[in-house]
Amino acid sequence: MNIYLVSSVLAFTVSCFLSLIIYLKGSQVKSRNATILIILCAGIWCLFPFFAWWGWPDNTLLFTRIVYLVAIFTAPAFLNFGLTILDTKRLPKERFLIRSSILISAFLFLPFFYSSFFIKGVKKVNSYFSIDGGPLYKLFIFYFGAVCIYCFYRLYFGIKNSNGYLRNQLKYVFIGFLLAFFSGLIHFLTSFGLPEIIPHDFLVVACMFILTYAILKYHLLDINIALTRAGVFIIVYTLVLGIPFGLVGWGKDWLIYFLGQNWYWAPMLLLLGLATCGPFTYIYLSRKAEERFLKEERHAHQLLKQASQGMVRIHDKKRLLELIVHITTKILGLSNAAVFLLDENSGNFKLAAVRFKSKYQYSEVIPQDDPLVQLLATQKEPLVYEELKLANQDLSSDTPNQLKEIDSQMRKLKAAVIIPAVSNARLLAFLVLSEKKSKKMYSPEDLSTLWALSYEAALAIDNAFLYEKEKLRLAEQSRRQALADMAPGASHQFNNRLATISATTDNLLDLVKNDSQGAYQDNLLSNILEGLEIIQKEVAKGEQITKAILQKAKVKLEFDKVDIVKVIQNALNLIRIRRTRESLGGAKEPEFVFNYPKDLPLLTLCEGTIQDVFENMFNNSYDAIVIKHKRNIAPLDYQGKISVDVTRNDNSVIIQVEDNGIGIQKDNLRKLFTDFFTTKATSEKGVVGGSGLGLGVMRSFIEEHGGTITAESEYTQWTRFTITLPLNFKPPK
Amino acid sequence: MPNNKLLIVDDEEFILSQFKSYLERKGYLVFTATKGEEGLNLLKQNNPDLMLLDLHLKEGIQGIDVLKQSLEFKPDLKVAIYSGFGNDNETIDSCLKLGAKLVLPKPINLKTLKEELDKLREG
Repeated sequence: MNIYLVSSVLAFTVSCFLSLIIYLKGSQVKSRNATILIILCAGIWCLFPFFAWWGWPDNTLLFTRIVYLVAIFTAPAFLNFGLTILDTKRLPKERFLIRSSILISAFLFLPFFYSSFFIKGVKKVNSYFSIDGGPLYKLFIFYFGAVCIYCFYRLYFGIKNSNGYLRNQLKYVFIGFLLAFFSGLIHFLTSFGLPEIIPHDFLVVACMFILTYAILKYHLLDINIALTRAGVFIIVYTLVLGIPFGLVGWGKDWLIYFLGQNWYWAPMLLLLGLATCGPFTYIYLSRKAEERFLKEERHAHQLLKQASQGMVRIHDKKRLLELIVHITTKILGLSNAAVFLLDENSGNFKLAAVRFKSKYQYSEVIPQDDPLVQLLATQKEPLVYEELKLANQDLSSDTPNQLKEIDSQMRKLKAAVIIPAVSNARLLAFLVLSEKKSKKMYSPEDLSTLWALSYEAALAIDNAFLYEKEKLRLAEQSRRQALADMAPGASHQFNNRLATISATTDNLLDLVKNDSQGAYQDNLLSNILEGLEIIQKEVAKGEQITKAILQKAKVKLEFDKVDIVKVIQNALNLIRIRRTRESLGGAKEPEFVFNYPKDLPLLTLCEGTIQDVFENMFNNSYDAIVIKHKRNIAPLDYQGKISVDVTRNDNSVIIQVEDNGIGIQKDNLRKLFTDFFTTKATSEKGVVGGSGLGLGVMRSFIEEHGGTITAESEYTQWTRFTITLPLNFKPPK
Repeated sequence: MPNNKLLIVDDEEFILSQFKSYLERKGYLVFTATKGEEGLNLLKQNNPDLMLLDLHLKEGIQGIDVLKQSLEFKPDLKVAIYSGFGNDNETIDSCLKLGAKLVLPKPINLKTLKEELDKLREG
């Protein structure tokens, strides 16, 4: 028994074992039968060295010829396998090729398998055997080689034209069979007198493992990594085993000379040491090597992780979803991506963000009872199209089947992967990802990174949902608060109007009734005229108040063409009514300066929210002025001033609101627009409550109009807000 | 019997003009001011015995401070206060404690105003 025979028996055993595994794996495997056939054929062919040794010398030829009975059919088996896995087996040309190959094997070689025309004899060379072939044997080698090369040619183009899972699978098959082909080559060359340098059957064993792995495994390792790992493994363990054995082989005498009887301790200890280091060295080296291959991928994953961590901070749902499709397409190099978001009213999923819209037309809505949605909602796991396809393959076509519908839906969406975003056991959204532009398949690492991203995204989406509700609630609350705040001021104003009117009428009545004859007769008419004019003016003032309040109460919350100057003026009026003398805490009534160009076009605005923004802004300015007054840092004759400047350029209207109040500290200026942040609540408790909308909500209102808001300030001196609103804004439907 | 001089402090100019016009026909000598500081000056210059004071003044010192300083200057000044606000009972209470004699509603019928002022002057 020697290493050549061991490899021979091993190859056969492994072939039987792997065939059994593939057989038991059953119907899930598309090319099951073809795979078993080729593995068994190759396995039996590998028995040649063992049979030759077993029958030596008398039965060797007989046994060899029996082995070749099967070997003759290896070529058609290989062709059959290759064309099956390429899914072209049933095409007429391919079918013809397979049949011809079977016929050639059956009628050209089979009838002569027992004649010396085919195999003359078997030669024993050192530890291996070689075949002394007849003329037909040389033809057989040529035929076998031609079939193999054709198969490689087909596989090569198969790899080029495929993508995803199949592409990777074909690469494995190609490399596996390349090993087997070299094995055959070594075997054939021995009959031309070349030595068999390594036991060729080992290569077949490797081929079989690769094939089985490629056929059975859904998540195939990237082939480069697999090869790297195998290469590193072979090198490391060749050294681990080779060095001690080499030492024994070549340095035994030398060892005995130095160590005497216990010479074997040296290689033993060396083996022990190397074997201990082996696994660590292997892991270290393969990781290093993989890092080179995966540098790009790892980098991408790092970027994705970083991006996903920042997501929770984004409260605007639309922006958040656009960011998600943007980063996934960009970082993973996808041709396109889309997010479908839960519509809370209907429960359906609506297309919420698309990257590269022009390429594919997505359906706008996917109903909640769609099998795809239901599967995502129950499984809560990334859905990979390739896997679904594999799972689907052996299901009969006529049975109505959920998976089939999902398959067609995914095909419609051009989805390679769908990642669900689940929060609190509720499916909030799902991310539809296309193939990568590189046609590479999604690696398990890709999927797990995307899975982590979807977790962060779900949190962020949940947050955005909540924020949207909270924002509306806050806006509503602030509106009510504003109206309530206005009540005392408004009633005071009204009372003053009424008091003036009542005093005037009383006076005029008395004048006409009691004093029209005496000393006052001459001036009677002018007195009456003066009185009536007073009443007229007071009524007009009263009207202004009611108008402003009514405007506030029933202002529209929908988009319309609006005069921004009127909106600002209204906000000013309301604030004047709202801020009574008391709320000024002894400070002088601020002075208002309002500058605007005459030819401003109407803007498309939601009047209610924009008016809220300006009211809040003016209210804040009042607060800033009051606080500055109270802090005693202002000069004695400090006069609060609020100025509003409206200008326009080609694209937008720019509104600057500046006050000379307390200002904002640098630290606070930075977080000014974060939600629910107020400088007043924390720093001036009891002075002015931090009520109102908060700048975070104000910012989101402005952004809903496609505008921007920025703040500048010098603490204790001034604050300036700059709002930009686009001229040709198209409101969302 | 106190003199017939009356000082009115109110930030509404038209109210002042109408009050003045009416009350002067009824025998009062009326001085008017729209600001607290102005009112205090008129008090010092003309020494009226009666004062009608609006608690809410748009500018300058507040009504209650006008009351305080006026009474400091002339402790026997008879002051009637009035306010258009419905919700400042506290201020009114402290004004009464400081020495205001009368609280009038706003708006007020001019005849009622004259009668109340007459009573205040006599009582």
